[in-house]
Amino acid sequence: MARPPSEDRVELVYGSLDMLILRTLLWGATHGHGIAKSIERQSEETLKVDHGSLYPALQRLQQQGWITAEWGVSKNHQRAKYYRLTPAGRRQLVAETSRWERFVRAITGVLRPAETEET
Amino acid sequence: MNWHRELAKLGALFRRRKPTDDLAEEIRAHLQMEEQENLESGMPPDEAHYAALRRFGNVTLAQERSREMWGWNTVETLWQDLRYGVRQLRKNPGFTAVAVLTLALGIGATTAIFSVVDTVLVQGAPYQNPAQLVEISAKNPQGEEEPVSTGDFIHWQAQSPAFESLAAYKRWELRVLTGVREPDEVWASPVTTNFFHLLGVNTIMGRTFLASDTQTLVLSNEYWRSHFAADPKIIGKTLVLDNKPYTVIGIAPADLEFPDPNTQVWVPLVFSAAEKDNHEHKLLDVIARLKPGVTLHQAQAAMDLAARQLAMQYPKSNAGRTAHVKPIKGREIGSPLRSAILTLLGAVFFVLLIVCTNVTSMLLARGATRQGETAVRAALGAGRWRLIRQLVAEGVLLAGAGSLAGLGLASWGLATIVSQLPKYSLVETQAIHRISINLPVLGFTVALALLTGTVVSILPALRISSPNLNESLKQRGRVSGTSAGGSQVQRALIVSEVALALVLLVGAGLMIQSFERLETTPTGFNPDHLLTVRVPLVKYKHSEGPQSVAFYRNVLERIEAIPGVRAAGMANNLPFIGFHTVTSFPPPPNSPGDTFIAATRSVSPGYFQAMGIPLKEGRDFTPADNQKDAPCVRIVNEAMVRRYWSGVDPVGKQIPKACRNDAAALIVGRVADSKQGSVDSQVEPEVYVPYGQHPFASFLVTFVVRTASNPSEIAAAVRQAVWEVDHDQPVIQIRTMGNVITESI
Repeated sequence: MARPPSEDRVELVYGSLDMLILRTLLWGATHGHGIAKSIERQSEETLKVDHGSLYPALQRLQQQGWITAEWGVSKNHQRAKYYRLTPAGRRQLVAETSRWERFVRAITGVLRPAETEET
Repeated sequence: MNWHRELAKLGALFRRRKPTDDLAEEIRAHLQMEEQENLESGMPPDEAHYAALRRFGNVTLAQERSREMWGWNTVETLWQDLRYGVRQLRKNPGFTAVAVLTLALGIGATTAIFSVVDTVLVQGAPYQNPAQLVEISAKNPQGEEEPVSTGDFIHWQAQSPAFESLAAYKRWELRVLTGVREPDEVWASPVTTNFFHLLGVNTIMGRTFLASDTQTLVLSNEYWRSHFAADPKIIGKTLVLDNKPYTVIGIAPADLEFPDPNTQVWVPLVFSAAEKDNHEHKLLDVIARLKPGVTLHQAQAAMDLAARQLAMQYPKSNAGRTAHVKPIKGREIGSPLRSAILTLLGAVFFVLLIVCTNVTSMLLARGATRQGETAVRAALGAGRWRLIRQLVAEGVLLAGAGSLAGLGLASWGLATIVSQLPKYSLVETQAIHRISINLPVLGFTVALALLTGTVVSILPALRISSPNLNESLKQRGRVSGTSAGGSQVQRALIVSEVALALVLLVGAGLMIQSFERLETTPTGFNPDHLLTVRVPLVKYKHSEGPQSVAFYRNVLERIEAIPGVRAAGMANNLPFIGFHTVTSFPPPPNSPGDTFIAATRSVSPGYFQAMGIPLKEGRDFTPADNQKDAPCVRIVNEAMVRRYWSGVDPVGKQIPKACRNDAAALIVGRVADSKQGSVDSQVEPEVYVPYGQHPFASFLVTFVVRTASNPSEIAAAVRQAVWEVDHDQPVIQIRTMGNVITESI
């Protein structure tokens, strides 16, 4: 029996989703919808994540103390919860980014050994 | 920062609604914003709405997983599962009732037997630091264990570097209790005054002995409950034992069975000056507490030294005698009782297995009808584990309800069992009277309920949680049959259940059969309408000898005068009480060899008639045989004739050296064989003596009364008859012969 699709997709993006959220909040406080839109735009529409999967991630980030939340009013005069990065979150983002870049370099190195050999 | 968060989480547990509502509102807002954007980019309103929803994904799942992050997920979902389970069970009352009753049977029976096991086999004794307790026994020069003499004990007490203290006791003495409504015979254990302190046992009411106590007693818990209705005011009252007053100073705890499970009172053991010096008379048992840090080995060495000292000081009595230190014996359960209990445990385990199999197949069958519902839940996003957990929760609920009912069943059953047990008939352990549902048993029941619940539901749960999603949704609402694999499992379950039940039935049938056989085995006498009454001789009033003969004849005459009594007789011990008296005789004339051992019984005239043992030849005893200087006569049974005289007619023959002063005894009669010991034992050769010629073991004297009607009706009249002769006479163990035989089985 196939598992619900969203579950599969979220598993893949688990840790990276956290990072993306933190990155987005670096530009300023936003609500959940705004974060989702921002991620889509920045990744040039390649990362199509279910909006719903953001919310568990947001809760987790709150638990860790990397973001805080506050009720506010949106542009459309709607009540929305705004999330903001904390100093600890900022530090975490730096750590995660460098780790991610190392990871990417490693994978790239494996995927294109010919290039490195040639040069 | 961390504990702060944990505290907040705990607080959140109790304020669930706000965050849940918050989240719902937040998600609603999100959807609205997305819809708004869709509208602005030109989508028609309907499409905008659904596009937003699709973009979001599974709303319920998002909510649930967000809530998961809040950390108290498990408890919440468990609670949910349980509530849902209750609803489901209520919807099918018939099914639930049957399942609960079945489980109640299994769990109740297991709990009952477990509490027996716990009380009788497992519970330890209430001593403090039992590892430090030892018993010290004496061995004679031949190496045989013997009781300790008073003089030795005093010496050991004085010179005992290895021990904190020593105490001595006599296991039992039967004493007559008067001054109460009905005179009784009590099992008294004289113990030195430091006895309780040494064991580290305290009374539950009142106090234990002081060093200066001489005429005080501690009452056993069981006797206090059964004879004094657990009246706390008994403390301070005086009880008369063997015509001496004793003040009740305390009540012992229920689980103290030292020195004997049958001990009903503890009295101080006091030594006179003469006794303290006596190293010859051996009648004490000794226990001691080791000093902390002293090993058994060291203690033994110390005792060896003490023994040598005594041997040097008192060569006549103590030469070659040694002392031995052993750890104290735990409660000893005789192996027949132990194996009976373990057999019951095995049987009840089978019952439980059958019950589980039964309920499992019931749940399996019902599972088929719930496939639709399960499929929907799976489609909504429930993981397999979640589904299983739900079904297991239902199973545990069923088992929980079953165990509640089962507990009621168990306590009723236990009460019935305990009331059936013979009271005060040399039972192997008092613990039997203490069997009840206590805390460890309750804990066991809870664990059993959890285990059973899980076991019965795990198979159906595994089966149900993996259906073909699409199929089940299509078939929703229809009671579909299970797949091929399912019915195979069901069939296997049914087969195993029948097999288990068969085993149980066969076992039970065999047991019933052998029991019946035992009960109807001919005993040699006629046990119908036979009442037995024990009238132990009150030694301080009537000495053994001519006085007791007169006393008993008096009583016998009065009993015979009671209307409804067909015949009455008396013996100095009853058959089937677990032991009988024997005597050794010189070897038979035709087969020289070792001494000949035969059972002996001192009886009154009329005993054979009352018992229904036919007199085959010669005559019964007469009152003349009980006279002081009557000639020495005996009656023998047929087994005796076969063994001693090889079947030749014994009347007129003699047994040499069978009487006082080594005179020969004349055989005047021959009776038919009757069993002495137990239903499945062989008949032993037996020699009957007129009571007057051998008044032995007078504490066991029992009257047998054959009645025309129900024996129990005559009981009161018999008691009256005895009390007319002496109102301080205990009249105890009134039972019908039938009961005596049954109890022996």
